[in-house]
Amino acid sequence: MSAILYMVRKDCKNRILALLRHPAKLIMYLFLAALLVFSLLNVALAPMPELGETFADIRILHGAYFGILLFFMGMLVLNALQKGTTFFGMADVNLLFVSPLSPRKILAYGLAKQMGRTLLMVFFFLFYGAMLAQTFGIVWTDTLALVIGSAVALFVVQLLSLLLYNVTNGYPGRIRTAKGILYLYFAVVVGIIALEFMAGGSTMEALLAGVSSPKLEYLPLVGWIKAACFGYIDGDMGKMLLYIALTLLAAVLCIVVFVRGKVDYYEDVLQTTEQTQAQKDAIKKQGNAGMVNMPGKNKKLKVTVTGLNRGWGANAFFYRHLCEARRRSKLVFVDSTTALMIAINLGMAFFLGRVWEADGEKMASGMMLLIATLFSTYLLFFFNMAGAWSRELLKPYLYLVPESPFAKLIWAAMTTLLKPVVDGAILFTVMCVYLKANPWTALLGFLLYASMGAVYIAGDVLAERVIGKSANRGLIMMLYMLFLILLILPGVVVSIVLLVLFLDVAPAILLVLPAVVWNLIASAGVFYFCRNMLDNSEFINEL
Amino acid sequence: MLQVTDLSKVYHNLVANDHLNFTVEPGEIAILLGPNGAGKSTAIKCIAGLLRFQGNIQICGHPNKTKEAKRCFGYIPEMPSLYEALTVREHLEFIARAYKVENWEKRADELLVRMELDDKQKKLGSELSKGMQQKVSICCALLPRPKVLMLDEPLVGLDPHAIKELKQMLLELRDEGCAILVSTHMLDSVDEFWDKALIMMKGRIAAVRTRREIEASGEDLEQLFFSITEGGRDGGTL
Repeated sequence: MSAILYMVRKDCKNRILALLRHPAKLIMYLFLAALLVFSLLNVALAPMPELGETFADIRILHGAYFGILLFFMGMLVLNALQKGTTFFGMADVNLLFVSPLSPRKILAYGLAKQMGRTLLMVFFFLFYGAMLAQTFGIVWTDTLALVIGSAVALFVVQLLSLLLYNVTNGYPGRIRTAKGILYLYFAVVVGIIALEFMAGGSTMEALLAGVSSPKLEYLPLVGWIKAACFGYIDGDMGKMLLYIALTLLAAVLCIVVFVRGKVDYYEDVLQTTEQTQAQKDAIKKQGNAGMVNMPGKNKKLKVTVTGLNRGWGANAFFYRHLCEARRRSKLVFVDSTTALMIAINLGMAFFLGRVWEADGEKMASGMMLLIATLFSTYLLFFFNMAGAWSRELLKPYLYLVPESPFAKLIWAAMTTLLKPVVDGAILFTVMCVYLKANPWTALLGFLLYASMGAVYIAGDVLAERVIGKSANRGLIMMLYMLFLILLILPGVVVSIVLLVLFLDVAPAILLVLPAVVWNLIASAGVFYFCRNMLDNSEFINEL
Repeated sequence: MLQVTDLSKVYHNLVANDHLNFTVEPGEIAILLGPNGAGKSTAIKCIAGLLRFQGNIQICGHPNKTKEAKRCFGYIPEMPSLYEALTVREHLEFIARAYKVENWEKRADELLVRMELDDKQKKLGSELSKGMQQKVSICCALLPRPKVLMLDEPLVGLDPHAIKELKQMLLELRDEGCAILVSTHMLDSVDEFWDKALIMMKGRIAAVRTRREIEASGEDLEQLFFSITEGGRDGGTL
């Protein structure tokens, strides 16, 4: 054990020294810490909520907190069942696993390391402390309780994931059973909320009663941890202690079953550790693109029809992307993200419609389409990062092929430019039919959505062109966001001014059109301005 | 031919390449030798146009980032980087189409057979081992029949047959007049086919020897290498 303690001590010391040697990083951390302290002081020194002061309904916090914990649990457990889970790094595998140290001690080290990592991760949730306190009228110790609760939830769920992987790995029947239990868990959650929602007359009030239902707190782990946190917030110490004890018991049970069951867990975590390392490397080298193009993240592809069959010169990139897209989805541009986008928007329209109706109002279809446009555009930001354009930048061929950099830039970005056009056309047609909305409004939503797809790529191209790949990814991301704002702003400002001035005399579509046209002009301008980007940026995949 | 004049590359505070000067003539195999971190890979990436640099690099008489230069050279990276959703044969088809190589099929068949990939043509990039990916990478670089070829640690990860075949291919390319630059830190692996050795140390070229010079003087390349890399002798001994 002394060897592990030595390693941990040295690791901590070297990390601190490395930080001192990189003042920019140190300043950033100090700045974040100062912000955090300021945020906490802001909450701690705020006057106690006065009687009669109005705050947002605390039941929203109940629902949101439970939802976040549930999301993490679902993601971690499903991931563990499908791909495995690990607390270790490749250095641990290569140096510790082959050493004569006891596997149990190594496991304890892994658990401790993971606990530290989880704490560090949720530490930044404290930034939301001030916002939570001001919105819901809670005090800083309540915020702290919620943060500690999420840390505990993450840790215990990771323990459970490790145990599940250990027990189910190599047994398809067990994996199916475990997945079945998880889906059942979700079904129970949905069932409890839906029943309360229906029973309460499908109103907003009923929905809030549903998501904050005490019945949800009976559900293991996520429910228990939520109950403990809100027990503290409500001053119900008995409830808090009961649920803390249950959670602790579950955690201890996981560890005991894991350690007693199969000590030889090395094989179980090896593959996942290798995969995790590859993913870490991808993020380190490729930044955001690495995050969405992680090795092993893609589903298994089937080879049926082969060959590019078209393309000559720079447009070979486009036809290659089409070939790859065909392999990922038979309908080429229409894939799971299209379905997801439609499902989310339909769900949102249905849900908001019901809530408004129950409250005696009717939401205008135009307003619903506007919400759908804004939300879809937000989602598109993330989907775009997984596009063929981002993947192309990670391979050397885009830089090596003897064609003009402008032609390569256009053809390599073409499928990523076209995807929002196809997705948008389907999405807004479906939404228009479902909401029985004005087709012109739907067309406007489609145009805004499609033009934003172009702006997102243009912003990325501009950031790459201005800084180049060798720069810090955080800096590129910051500049990317800044460029996006600068690119969108003029069009948005003009449209807003027009809307304010002429909404009574001209149709909205004409007034919002300048934003669409501006998006397209600005994107085209960026592409032209950055036409030599591929000659000026650096390919760093292997550095 | 490949001509490198005053090539420098600086990462933040680190000088990876410091005023490199060398040429590789048609029909010549030059090896970039040096310990880990000497700047060999950086130099090759600069020549391939993947990194920004200071200085002048001419390939077949054209600046290295021009279309004309790119049409002339082939590059085999140290870490192969294939498209996950493309089959082995589609990689070659893509290269043929992107490089506008007419009647590429026969050449592709020949390369695939020599690299023992002919029975794996329908395998996806994501399904290949690192060694196999390296073989596909080699086929892609050789398909357009480059006049200048750059290889970064090309033998790492290859099986004995592929090593033998690649060495044979390099000799054939040399006989056809191709200028070849191979970066390696393993002297033994390139011992039988080099014509010019460029020994790098701390980002600089510390010594240049042709095989003829070594044979005439009786100097030992390995000893020279160690005297530079371990004896602190660098620069000024060209």
